[in-house]
Amino acid sequence: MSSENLIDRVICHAERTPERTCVQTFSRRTKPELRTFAQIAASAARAGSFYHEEGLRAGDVVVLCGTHHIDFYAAWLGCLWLGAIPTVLAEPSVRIAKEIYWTRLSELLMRIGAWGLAVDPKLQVEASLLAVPHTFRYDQIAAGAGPIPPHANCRPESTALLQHSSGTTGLHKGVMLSHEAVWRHAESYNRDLKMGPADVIATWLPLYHDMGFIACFLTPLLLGVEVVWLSPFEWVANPALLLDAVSRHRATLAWLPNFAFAFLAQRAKAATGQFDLSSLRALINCSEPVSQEAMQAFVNRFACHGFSPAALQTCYAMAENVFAVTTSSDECPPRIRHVDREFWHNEHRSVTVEASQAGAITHVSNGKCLAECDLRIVGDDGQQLPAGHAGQILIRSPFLFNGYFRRDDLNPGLFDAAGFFNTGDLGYVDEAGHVYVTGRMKDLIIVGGKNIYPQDVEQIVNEVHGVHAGRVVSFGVPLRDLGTEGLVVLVESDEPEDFWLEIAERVRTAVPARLDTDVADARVVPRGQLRKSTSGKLARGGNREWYLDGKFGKIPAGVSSNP
Amino acid sequence: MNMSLDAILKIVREFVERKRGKSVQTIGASTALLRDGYLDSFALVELIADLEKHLNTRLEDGALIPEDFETPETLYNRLQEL
Repeated sequence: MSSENLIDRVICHAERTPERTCVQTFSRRTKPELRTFAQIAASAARAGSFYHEEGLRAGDVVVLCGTHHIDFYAAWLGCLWLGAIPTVLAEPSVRIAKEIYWTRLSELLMRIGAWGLAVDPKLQVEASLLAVPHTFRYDQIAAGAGPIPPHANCRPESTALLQHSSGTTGLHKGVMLSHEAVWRHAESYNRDLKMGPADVIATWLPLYHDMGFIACFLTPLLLGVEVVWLSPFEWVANPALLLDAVSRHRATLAWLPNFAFAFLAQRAKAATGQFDLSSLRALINCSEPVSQEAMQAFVNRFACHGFSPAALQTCYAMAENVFAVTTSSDECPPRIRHVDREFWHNEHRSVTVEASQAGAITHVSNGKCLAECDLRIVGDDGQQLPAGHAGQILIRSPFLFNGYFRRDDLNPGLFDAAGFFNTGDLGYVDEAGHVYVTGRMKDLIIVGGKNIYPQDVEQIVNEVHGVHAGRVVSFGVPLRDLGTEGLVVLVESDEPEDFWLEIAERVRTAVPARLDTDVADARVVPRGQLRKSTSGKLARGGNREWYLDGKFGKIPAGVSSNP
Repeated sequence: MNMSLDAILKIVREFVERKRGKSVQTIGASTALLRDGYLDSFALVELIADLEKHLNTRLEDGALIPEDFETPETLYNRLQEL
């Protein structure tokens, strides 16, 4: 049992508990499908034989695309069987123009020198038009009938998989994770989660994102935990499906981005007592800034369905550290801290006050560092800051990534002399060691758990007819009811004011088709009105502040002006 | 389900108008509703509720998914199947 080769872990569960359910799908549209650990391991071996006959070798990269198909498991594990490196990318969505999607995908495949592409059967036609040497369907891969090759004996430090984050800028950064890193993360995270054979995970999360992929696919495979698997597409149109899945399968754990707590509380169709959520022992809020409002709304709505507030947990995670950096737990529940507004805004210090104090800000902790992680808060000068002072978050752990795949331009200097990685996030640690993540340095916008880079938005909008190129700024604003951020785009135009509404409409249309994300508000503002920084560049933060103050006109009803 | 394409178009237009606070006659049978930013994924649940009201029926949970909302026409076709 000392092997850190990931495929050995899966084989081990298949041998010890062959009949245990590994995964089952849950849907109102399609028949449920179930696979035991023995079936999953056998299909991984068949996929290994299929890939082997097609010429896949250790170290080759396979891109997988389209995730809600039971044979995804075989297609992914089959790569590991041969020591090849799988990576999962977002599938086409109805929001994104098909030709743009496939063009961008083929560019990425070329750049990373991918050996081939494995796709959901329903994507086959379009995928086969790409100039990729090998394109196969999941079901074809899982049905491999050749002799089964011995499974690769990978060195612990060799790269097991690539994790691509979403967004176009993100697409070009494949986080390299080794076998050892993935396994040690699973063990370390599980010291707090204490998952075992009695647990069942319910999930609708897409697998091209680390929360869906690491927490709800890979970690349960390695630890032998059962998963109830919902389609993200079906869930969005029918959020109560998750509650139904928890209820019927007595699920004990689920991970959700912050917005989903609010979304479920507001939109799920649930008659009083219809669902039994009492089996949930941990409902983990992760991947977006955690808000107390969203979690409280969930508790208020679902207490009558047996949901226990003690099950609410929080986590701070990133692909560069496999997944979790900090987590709360039963012994160490998330803390709610009321902070003085003046100290916080003027000195970036978290000074506690009574909840009733006028203007008090509420922070929810993301729990404490995993036992094997180190976290440091430093100021702009790189010096470590004392408890309660906010600064940049640096992390170090035995499961940090090995760098970005084929990005030698980014890789030098990723880690400082002591081995710390600068996360780009801002936050502080309290006297008891609880970590509060309060912001991001890189202007990143998180919409519904998905990372959006303002540079990408601005680049697209620059090309919109009627927009004065270079006079575009985008940023995120908090959406009160949805518990997530909304994307705002402000532009200047040389056209007469009569055309502004039309130009704003074009901006609103251009972004979803390219980035697969919604625009909450797009506006044309008078020439010269966008705020510039001292260096003459448009300042995202400054314009955001003015926007929230109403300086560009009345802000939409759902936007919270008081973050 | 017995409902004309025009009726579907009307429901979708009214819904988007309510959300945007302005007229959107530009929506036609083949307008890409999600891709062109007329609807966002979170609005789907509300639109489904609107459809139920107009159709005077309760759609089974999960009867519609985002792919069905690609255009008013795909929505119409899917509703015919139900």
